[in-house]
Amino acid sequence: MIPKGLFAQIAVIIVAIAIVWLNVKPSFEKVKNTQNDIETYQTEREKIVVVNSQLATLVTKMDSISTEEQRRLLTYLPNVIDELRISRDIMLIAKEAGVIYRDVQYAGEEGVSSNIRDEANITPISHFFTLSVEGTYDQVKNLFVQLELNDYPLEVRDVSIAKAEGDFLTTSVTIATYALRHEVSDSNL
Amino acid sequence: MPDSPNSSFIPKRGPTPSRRGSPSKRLYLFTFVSYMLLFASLVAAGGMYLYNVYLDRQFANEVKLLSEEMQSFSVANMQKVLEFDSRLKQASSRFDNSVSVAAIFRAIESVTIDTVMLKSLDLTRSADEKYLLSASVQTDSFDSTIFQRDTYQQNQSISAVEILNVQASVDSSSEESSAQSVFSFSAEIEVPVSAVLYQAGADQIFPPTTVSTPEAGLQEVVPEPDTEEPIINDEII
Repeated sequence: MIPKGLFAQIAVIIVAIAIVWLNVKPSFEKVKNTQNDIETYQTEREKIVVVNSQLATLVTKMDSISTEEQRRLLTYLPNVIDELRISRDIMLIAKEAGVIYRDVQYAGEEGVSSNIRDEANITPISHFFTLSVEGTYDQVKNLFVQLELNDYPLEVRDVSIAKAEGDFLTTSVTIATYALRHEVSDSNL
Repeated sequence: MPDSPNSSFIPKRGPTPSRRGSPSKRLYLFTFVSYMLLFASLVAAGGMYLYNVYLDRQFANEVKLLSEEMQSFSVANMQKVLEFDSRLKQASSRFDNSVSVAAIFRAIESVTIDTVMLKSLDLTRSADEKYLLSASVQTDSFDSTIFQRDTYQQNQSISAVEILNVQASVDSSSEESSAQSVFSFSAEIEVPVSAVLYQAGADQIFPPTTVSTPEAGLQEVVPEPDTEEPIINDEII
């Protein structure tokens, strides 16, 4: 005859197993998942901390540049160009070089998409001007020297020189200057 | 005394307390183990519950910290930095490819021989790779043509030279009694951008000349260049 106490003990064991299976084991799974989530969040937070730190460093470095230097950079490559001012500057350069100034015309800008090669090699937007002058050979050479000394780029793209009367040369120059090509978009942030 | 009728010859044990049989030790151990299991499972359940509560709080804290870090990220600063970086890179690209056109002229001057005259000159920049020069040249003999071509090829600033359309004619407009042969040709010259990059201070060999307005007529003062006198005449064209 099986004693009644044995039934109770078996029942106790069954209850213990049931508690472990139904409560403790799922809790283990939940603990594991929660720990994974915590680790993920910690990793991502560390990344953001690094990014914020780098951004703060870059902002500090940028702010450490003197106002004068920033102004020069902005002059060298502005957001947009002023065709009238640049035409005037070219005219003044021509007169300073000693050539006879004839004409300067704004000849438009290069296509926006044609200069984009890849994200790492983006070139600014080109704007063209056509300058017509007359002068001696040395005066024309001096014109190119003066163009190189300008505060912003006046890049010579085309030159056409032909002999005119006497020692004079008729010169037509295509000059390029640049404006910033904005590449910042939401996808970069 | 007569014997009792129930007496037996088998001796009877005296009234001694009977011993109970001791319970089986396996059953006691089993009981202990079963109750320990129950106790352990209850403790484990309670412990897991408390640990879960702790982890949930920790997780909520991490979420809060992450949210704070994300909010501390300044989009405006990022845009400012990106724009500045873009401006700097684009400016650098143009600065690194700045060319001295005057250096191209110096190079052409240094290799143009005395007997050659350039009638016209066209210069075109091909991206940031090279300048293409197309010159209409006049000289007095075939030998000069060949010599000029060889001189162009020997110059380090010139990467390629091609002589085209060589034509011979007689120049009867000369003041001399005998007509002179005139040879004309086109020269296609390539000058790589890397050979004529702008260098600060290198272009100050041509100080400005003084010239008055066209109405007053030309009063030209051409100072001596600082470099040694080129092979050619004072005028290329």
